[in-house]
Amino acid sequence: MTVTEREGNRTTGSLESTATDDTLPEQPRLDKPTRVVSARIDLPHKLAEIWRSRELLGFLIRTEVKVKYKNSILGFLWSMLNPAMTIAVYFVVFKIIVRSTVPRFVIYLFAGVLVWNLFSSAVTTATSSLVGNAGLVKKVSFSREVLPIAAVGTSCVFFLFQAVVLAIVLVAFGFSPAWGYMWLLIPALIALIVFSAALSVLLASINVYLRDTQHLLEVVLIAWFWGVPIVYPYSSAMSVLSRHGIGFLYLMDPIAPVVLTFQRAIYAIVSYIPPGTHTRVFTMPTAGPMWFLKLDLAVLAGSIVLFLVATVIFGRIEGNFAEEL
Amino acid sequence: MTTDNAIEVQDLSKRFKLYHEKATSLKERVVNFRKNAYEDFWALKDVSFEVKEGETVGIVGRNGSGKSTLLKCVTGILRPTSGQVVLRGQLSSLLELGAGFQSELSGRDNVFLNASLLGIPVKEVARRFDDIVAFAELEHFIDNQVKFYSSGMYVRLGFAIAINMEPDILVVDEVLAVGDESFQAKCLEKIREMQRGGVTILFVSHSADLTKKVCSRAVVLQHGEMLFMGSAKDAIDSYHDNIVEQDQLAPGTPRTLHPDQPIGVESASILSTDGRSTDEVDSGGPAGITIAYRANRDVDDAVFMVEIQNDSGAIVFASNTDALEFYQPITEGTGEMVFTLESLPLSSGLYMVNAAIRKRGTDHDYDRFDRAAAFKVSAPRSSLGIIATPVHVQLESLDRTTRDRAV
Repeated sequence: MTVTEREGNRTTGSLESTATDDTLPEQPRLDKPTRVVSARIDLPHKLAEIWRSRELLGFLIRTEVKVKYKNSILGFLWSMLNPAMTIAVYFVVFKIIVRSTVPRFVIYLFAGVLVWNLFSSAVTTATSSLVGNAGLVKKVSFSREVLPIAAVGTSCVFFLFQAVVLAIVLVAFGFSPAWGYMWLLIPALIALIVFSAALSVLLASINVYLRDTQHLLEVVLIAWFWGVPIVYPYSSAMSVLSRHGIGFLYLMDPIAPVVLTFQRAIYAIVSYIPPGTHTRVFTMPTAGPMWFLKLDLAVLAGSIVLFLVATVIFGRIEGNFAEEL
Repeated sequence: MTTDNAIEVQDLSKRFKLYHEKATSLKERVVNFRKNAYEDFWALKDVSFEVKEGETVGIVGRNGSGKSTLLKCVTGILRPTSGQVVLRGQLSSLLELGAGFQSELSGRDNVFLNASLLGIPVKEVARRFDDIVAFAELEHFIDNQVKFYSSGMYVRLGFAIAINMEPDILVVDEVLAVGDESFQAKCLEKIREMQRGGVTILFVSHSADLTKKVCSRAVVLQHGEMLFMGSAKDAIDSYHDNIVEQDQLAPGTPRTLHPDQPIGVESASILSTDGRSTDEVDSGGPAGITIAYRANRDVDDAVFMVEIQNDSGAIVFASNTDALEFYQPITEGTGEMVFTLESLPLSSGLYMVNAAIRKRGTDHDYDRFDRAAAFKVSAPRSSLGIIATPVHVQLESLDRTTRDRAV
């Protein structure tokens, strides 16, 4: 009956909190976090929120990696079989059928495919991440940017598996990469991850409103893949474009500098003379490490700007995610 | 703005766009660009209230009154169209239990994943992990994949995570409607414990009874607007008045009968002592219930049944002509069957009348009209359970009784 007694005391509608509870803190604790839910949220707060969610990001990536191949017999080996097959097919088509003259073609391919796979798998899975996790978005309150970013993180984990395979291939072939350019892989990789994350956040939020986005992306990625020197040598596309004075466009593609950096460090064969000819073919620009670094940093700077823009757009439209899904 | 408010809801409004047919592809958007027909629907309109630290405030309202939207805005699942909610303290919600569970992961992994979705640092989760598992009663299953859990286990784990995080603010929505009775009791006990510990609670339940029991104050919402804010009891009264007014159920809204139906209930109404239709009855006094029927042919095996249901859905009174050994055949046409109750000793609240006509000796209803009428009962404040009866209290000291016994 204690309940009803208390109720009797409270029916006056007093605004005082129930002072009878001796466990109540005497005064409001000032260390309590204050949160405001309002129509708009400004960029600094948004970024702080994302930063605070880094632990969640870790859990989501771990979950994705664990769950992805959970009920398959080969498990995470699939993440390596996929690029292996891509490389095998291109090798057969371009080395044996089309007779590409690029020496050590498998390693040339691998360096580019490694980069491309990280980018394309990240952006593809991230774009549908909000729609795919509709249950979560509709029912739990958290920084939703974490979902597309976690998709990028998951792709990074599989990238590492594939990088290990590449290392094994290099050792098996007795191939020595350009050690002097190796450190460039770090800025290149960071630029690629930030660019993927920026594009992911943007596309994932648009996809909530326009489901065309994910299908459009698939189509665009097919063309994009051939716009980057992964299968063919850099110079063959560059020479055609330069003739029309639009060679710079080729390097405006944020993926191209990253792919070139990887190829320069890992593949390292800058040019070769195809057998039976006397003209040199360039697989990549003949430039020093600083040229590559500048290009990668340019991509990074552009990607950071894109990420901020994407976060602002995401913040503008996320208020209605729960009802649009 | 004082700082001892744990929750401040300030001019909160939320607009939904109701598309007549939602366009989700680019083609549809382009094709329907001109006639992109939608209506504005304000799920919340300028709602403002404050919840002091340590206070428990209920939110009552009918379905579609904006309760869930309000809670979603408070928890941050939805962003308001205008206005804001200020929260001071760590918030935990019992909205969708186990919503973030990954079925392929073990219960253990899910505890960590779910807690981090709620924004709780790993260290804290690790510290309380054993408490969570113990509360959920899942000691033997915590390393099993969640997909093998029963729905009860699922909900228990979700509840245990949300409630064991020592939140400063707890948002509870209809959560006590799930789980078996013993688990419900346990949850309620935990909520009480948190109240004593000074946790601020925002509580939504369809049960007026529970709201009165748990909350000190309550907000009444209607069509997204705040109708009333005050003590829980006054709020529930206002809510009940509102239901009776809105439905205009007294006298019951007549129904039309299908021509093939032999007999049917057209309406039901409550009669006061002077024989007039009413929607308010004094507790303990007499009352009448009338079932107006229409018979499309002669029926000689009709059993008229009445039920009085309280707002928790419990049937507090039922009777029928069979039990009353009243076997009069019904002739074609309309008429009324009047049940007279000598006294109606019910406690204060809103009650519904269900009326039915059954074929004698079978389980087959000729017709059934649930919630055919509604009425309010006002009882003295001394009776608080289901029934109301005059009650007195006196103090007897032990000394005196022993002395009396000795004499």
